[in-house]
Amino acid sequence: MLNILLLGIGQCGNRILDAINHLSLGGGRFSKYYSQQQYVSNVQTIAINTALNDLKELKHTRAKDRVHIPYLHGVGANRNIGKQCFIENRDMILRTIEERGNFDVAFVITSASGGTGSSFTPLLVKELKERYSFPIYSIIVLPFREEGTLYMQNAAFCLQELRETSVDGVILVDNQFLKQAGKDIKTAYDSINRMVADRFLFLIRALDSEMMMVTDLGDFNTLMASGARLATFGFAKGGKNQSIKDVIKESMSPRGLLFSTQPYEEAVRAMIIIQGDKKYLDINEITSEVETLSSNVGHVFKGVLIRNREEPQVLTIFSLSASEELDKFYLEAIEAIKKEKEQKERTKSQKEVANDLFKGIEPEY
Amino acid sequence: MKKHAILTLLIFFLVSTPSVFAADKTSMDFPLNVGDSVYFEDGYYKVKLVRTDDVMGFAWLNFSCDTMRCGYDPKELKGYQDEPNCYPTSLNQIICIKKTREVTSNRAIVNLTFPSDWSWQIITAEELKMPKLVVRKTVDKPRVKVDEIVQVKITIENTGNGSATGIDIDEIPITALIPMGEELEPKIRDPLPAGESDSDTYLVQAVKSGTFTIPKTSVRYWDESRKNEYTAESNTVSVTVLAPEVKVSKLTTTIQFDKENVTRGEEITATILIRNVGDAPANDVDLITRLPPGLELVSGALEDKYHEIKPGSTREVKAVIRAVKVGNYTLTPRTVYSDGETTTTSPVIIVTEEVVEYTKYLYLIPILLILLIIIAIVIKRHREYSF
Ligand SMILES: Nc1nc2c(ncn2[C@@H]2O[C@H](COP(=O)(O)OP(=O)(O)OP(=O)(O)O)[C@@H](O)[C@H]2O)c(=O)[nH]1
Ligand SMILES: [Mg+2]
Repeated sequence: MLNILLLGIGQCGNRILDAINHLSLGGGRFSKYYSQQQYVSNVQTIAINTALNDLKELKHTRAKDRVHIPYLHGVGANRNIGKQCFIENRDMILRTIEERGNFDVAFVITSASGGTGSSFTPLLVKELKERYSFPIYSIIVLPFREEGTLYMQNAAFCLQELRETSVDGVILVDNQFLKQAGKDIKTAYDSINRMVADRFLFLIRALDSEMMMVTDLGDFNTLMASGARLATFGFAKGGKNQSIKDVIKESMSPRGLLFSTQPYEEAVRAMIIIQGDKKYLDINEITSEVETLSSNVGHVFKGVLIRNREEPQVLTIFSLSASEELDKFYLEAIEAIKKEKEQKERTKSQKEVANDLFKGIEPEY
Repeated sequence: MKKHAILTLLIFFLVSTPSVFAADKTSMDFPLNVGDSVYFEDGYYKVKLVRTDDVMGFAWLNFSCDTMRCGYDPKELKGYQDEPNCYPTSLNQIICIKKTREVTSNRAIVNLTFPSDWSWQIITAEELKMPKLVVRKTVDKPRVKVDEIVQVKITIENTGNGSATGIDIDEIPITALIPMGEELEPKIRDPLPAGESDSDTYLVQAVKSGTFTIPKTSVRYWDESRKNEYTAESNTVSVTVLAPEVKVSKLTTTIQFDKENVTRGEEITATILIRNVGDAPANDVDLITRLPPGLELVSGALEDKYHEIKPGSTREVKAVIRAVKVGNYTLTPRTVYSDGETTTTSPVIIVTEEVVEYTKYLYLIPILLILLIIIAIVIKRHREYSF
């Protein structure tokens, strides 16, 4: 049994963590009152935030798993303040994690664009890496592009800083790419969070399975270590009359992915985990699909979980060597940074002009 | 013995019979109208002209003698010129019709032969008319109650062949049936012709109970000629006067409980019914029911007062009582009223200690436990998840 640490930092990280906990309880509205968490592994979840209200909003995460960092009135999308805040509270945060015991793997979920999550995560990863040997993966949510220059800038710096740490992999989730998930911002957030939860729970179940023909944590680590240490998930659930081939294809299509990727071009390794009742799992179809994939991306880790009376589900994980989408994102971010800088300079010169004007003038009463 | 009797009879005959053996006979002409009679020896022998046949000159005569004494049957004989006919027989010639003369449609002169020492007398048809009154007494109701009125009817019928006159009715009153009105003098048509009847009534009131006889009515009357006075008497009538019904009220009281075996603290509904089974209203009715110690009144009442309870009607009193002590209890409602009082005893109420059957609720324990566990889990979970 694996010991897994799951951290959700900032509002976005907290909410996705809550969605994972909710799903592990069965997903019902009142399931927290009667249901047990269905993790196969020992999963420790911790939600960290500077905003008390964000923590209060959570419904399916235990109170003891919610850690409030009291800091003024939050960090307000300012990563410098966020970093300052982390440094001041670092010992407390680390102690909280330490108290939870030893882990085989850790996941840190956060948005890249906010204040708290984006500034805490790189620093926290660095601290944890220095202390522990277990791999740490980060699930990073990219903002809607129209959310503003500040968010773009934050996201770019966050990603940059994160990749400078020895993080074992960054799994990308792009709000912009998944925009169609809901008709308003709230439902979009909820369904994106649910999509992440589906994939994450599927993944840890597969990693902790004792069945034959399965992938394990070692395989996952190898997968993530290759390429640019960037990755994303694809997922699909098949209907009764859908062939397993179609389900696999769907998981790799834009409908199944969390980030805009061209798997055949950009992926260097892949992992494909198939689950469901035996009758859906046509081994020939699976083999031919996996072969097509491996002939394009290289090694493909393959796992099959037989689950009686369950409809077929497919999780695909791609580790990317390059990402056209991410490059585009960086460019946009740089534009944003420039804009911010120009604005600042304009303000500064404006101030200097004013200073010149008022030189030697005293108010007369 | 037999000879003796015949001898005695013979002597009797010789003594009592006018001397029919006398050889001396007299013949005499009697001018008679139809209906007239010749009475010999004051009517011991009678000869009556019944009818005539003026064309033939016949006259029919009815011969009779005092049947009780002479022993001869009456006989109708025809009188004709020179053709004698005798009575009682042609051998025993006591009276003979020798001849008739001057026969008209209603008259004839008849020549009769009879012993010469006999007296005789012509009695005309008028003189023969004799009234005979029959008096009957009836009442309209032979059985009455005290204070009721009885009608007494006196009917007088003249069954004779002559009118009755000077009718004097003597009616004697009795003290138990007092005549109403002035005098007790029944009025009857006077004179009362033969064959007719008349009646009169009077009313009497029964004043006491018993069986009473209204005595005979005595009637005295005369014939038309006022020569003869007669009397007649009615039957008696008895009237039964029933004792007056005494009307009194009579109350019965009953008490019932909806249950008689109760546990302490349980409530019992008591129903008391008072019913007037008498035939007069009961007045000033007072129902008194003492509640024995150990029972207490919860609601309603066990006592009441009524001004009047009509015959046949019922009053109901309801109360809820509760046993506060274990024991056996009876209630004795007493009803006091104008015509008496009555007390009744209720069934026994047996009050036992309350026994709670815990076993009955045993099945609840696991349910409660499960519920408690569920609640505890929910609360625990709620605490776990509230931040
Ligand atoms: N997918 C998803 N994105 C979210 C959610 N909540 C916020 N975001 C995104 O997260 C970014 C904002 O970051 P937050 O996580 O809200 O910020 P924070 O880390 O709490 O930092 P501060 O609030 O600035 O202190 C925006 O790009 C949002 O679009 C969520 O529930 N789901
Ligand atoms: Mg926030």
